[in-house]
Amino acid sequence: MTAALEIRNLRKSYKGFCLRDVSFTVPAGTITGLVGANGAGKTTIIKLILNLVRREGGEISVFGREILAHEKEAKSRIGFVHETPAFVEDALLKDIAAAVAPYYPKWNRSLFRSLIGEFGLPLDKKFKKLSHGMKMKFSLALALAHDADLLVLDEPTSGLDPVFRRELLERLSGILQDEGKAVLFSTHITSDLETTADFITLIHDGAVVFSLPKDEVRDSWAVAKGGTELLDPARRPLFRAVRETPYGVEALTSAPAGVRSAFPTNVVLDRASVEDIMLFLEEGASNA
Amino acid sequence: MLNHILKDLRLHRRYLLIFGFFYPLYMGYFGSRLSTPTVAAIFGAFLYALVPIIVFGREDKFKAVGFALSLPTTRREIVQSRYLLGWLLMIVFYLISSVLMLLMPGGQIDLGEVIAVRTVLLTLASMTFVFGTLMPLFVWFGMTGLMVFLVAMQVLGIVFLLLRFVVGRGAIAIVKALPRSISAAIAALGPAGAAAAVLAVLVLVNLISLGISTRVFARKEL
Repeated sequence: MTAALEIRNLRKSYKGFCLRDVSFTVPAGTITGLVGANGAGKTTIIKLILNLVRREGGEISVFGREILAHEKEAKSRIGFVHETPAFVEDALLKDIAAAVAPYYPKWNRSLFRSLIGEFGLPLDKKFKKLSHGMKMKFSLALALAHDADLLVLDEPTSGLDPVFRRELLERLSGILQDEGKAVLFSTHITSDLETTADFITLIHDGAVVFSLPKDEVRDSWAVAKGGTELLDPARRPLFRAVRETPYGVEALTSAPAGVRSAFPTNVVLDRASVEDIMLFLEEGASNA
Repeated sequence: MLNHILKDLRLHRRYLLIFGFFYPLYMGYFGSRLSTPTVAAIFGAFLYALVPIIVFGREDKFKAVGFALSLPTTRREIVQSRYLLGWLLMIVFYLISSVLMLLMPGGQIDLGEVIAVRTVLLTLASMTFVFGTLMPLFVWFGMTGLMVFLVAMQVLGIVFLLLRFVVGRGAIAIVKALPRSISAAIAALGPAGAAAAVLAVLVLVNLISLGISTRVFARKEL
C-alpha cells in the first residue's frame, strides 16, 4: 500500500513538552485518526507536517517525497483545515477564495461553488462575521476545492453541531472513493473515530502509543477486570495502566492473550475502546 | 511569489486604498509647501515604509501567516514576496505623491527638483534605511518590531546628544567626517558613476536585509 504520509522519528521539544520519536504512516486510500488528550502533541505533529514549526529531527514524506525538500509540490497535494481557521478577518469570503485559488493548479471552481452552496456559505460576507462552524465549513470548502490528495484536518469536528459533524465525517469517507487519496484528522472525540477511521494513531504525552488498523486495536487492547490479584507485582508488567474502583481492580493491557494465561480464572477481559485506552493512560500519567 | 503579492493586494486592498489616498495626498501637499523636496523625500520615505509593514502586520494580527504558509509555498518565498510588494507600494506611493506635489495649487517645487537624480537617490536611500531596518525587526518581533525601531532611533538620538555633551564637538566632527569622506569618494566617480555606486549600495543593503529576514523567518515558530 502506498504511503500518503510517512512520519519517521519526528522530534520536537518545547518548554514542558517533548515530542519523542513519533513514527506512523497514513496509507493512501485510508482515513487515519490521530487521537490523544489535549496537549498530547497532535497539533504539534500537524504543524510539523506543514512546516509551521521547525522539527528537531526525523523525516516527513508526502507521497514518498520529503516535505522540506519538496515543500511546494507536497503542499499543493495537501488540503489543510485548522482547528481555528485563521484568515484575514475583515476580508470577504469570495476574496479569500480568489486569493487562494491561484496557488493550486487543480483548483476546481465549480466544485468550490457547489460546496459553498451545499454548506450554505454567503460569499459576500466577511470572514469575521461567520460562526465557528461556518468558518470551519469555509475552510473545508477551500481544502476540498483543489482536489487535495491528502487532507490534514486539525480537530475538524470540535465546536461543530452534531448534524454537520456527521455530514463532515461522511464526506471524509466519500473522499476515499478515489483510492489515491488519504485523510489524517486529529481529534479527542473518540466517537468520530469509531464511525470513520480506518487507522488509529494514539498519541500520549508526546509519544505514539500505537498506530494500527481500527479493528486491530479492538483485538489487541483489552481491559481486565478482577480483584486485587491484578495488583500482583510479578504480573504487573502485563498491564499498561491499573486503577482501583469501588468494585475491584481494572487494568489496561495490550497483551490480552498473556493476561488470559496468567489469570485463568476470576478475571474478565473486555475489549478496550479507544476512549478506554485514553482514559487509562491519562489516569496512569496523573497517578504516576 | 506573484500569488503572494496578488493575495496581499486582494485581501488588504481596502487598507491600501485608504493609505493610497491619504498618504500621497498628505505628502503631496506637505511637499509642495517646501522649497526643496529633500525633507519631503526623507519624511515621505518613512511614511511609505510603514504602509507595507502595517499591511503585513494585519496578517500577524489575524494569525493568518500560518494559513499562508500552509499554501503551496516556502518561507523564503513569503519573505521575498513581502520585500517585493513593500518596494512596489513604496514606489507607487512615492510616484503619486511626487505628481501631487507638482500639481498642488500654490506649490513651490518645480519638476526639475522632483526628478533630480539626487532627490530620487535620497528618497530611495531613505526608503532603504527605514524599510530595510524595519523588515527584519518586523519579521522577528511582529508589530512590536516597529516599536523596537522607533525606540532604537530615540536611543540613538540620546546617545549622540550625550556624546556631544560628554566628548564635545570633536565627536560630532568625527561622526560628520564619515559621510563627508564617503560623499567625496562618490563624487570622485562622476555623476553617473556616483549614482550607480549609490544604487549598488542600496541594492546590497536591501539584499542584506532580505537575507536577515529570510533567516529569521526560517526559524520562526507559527
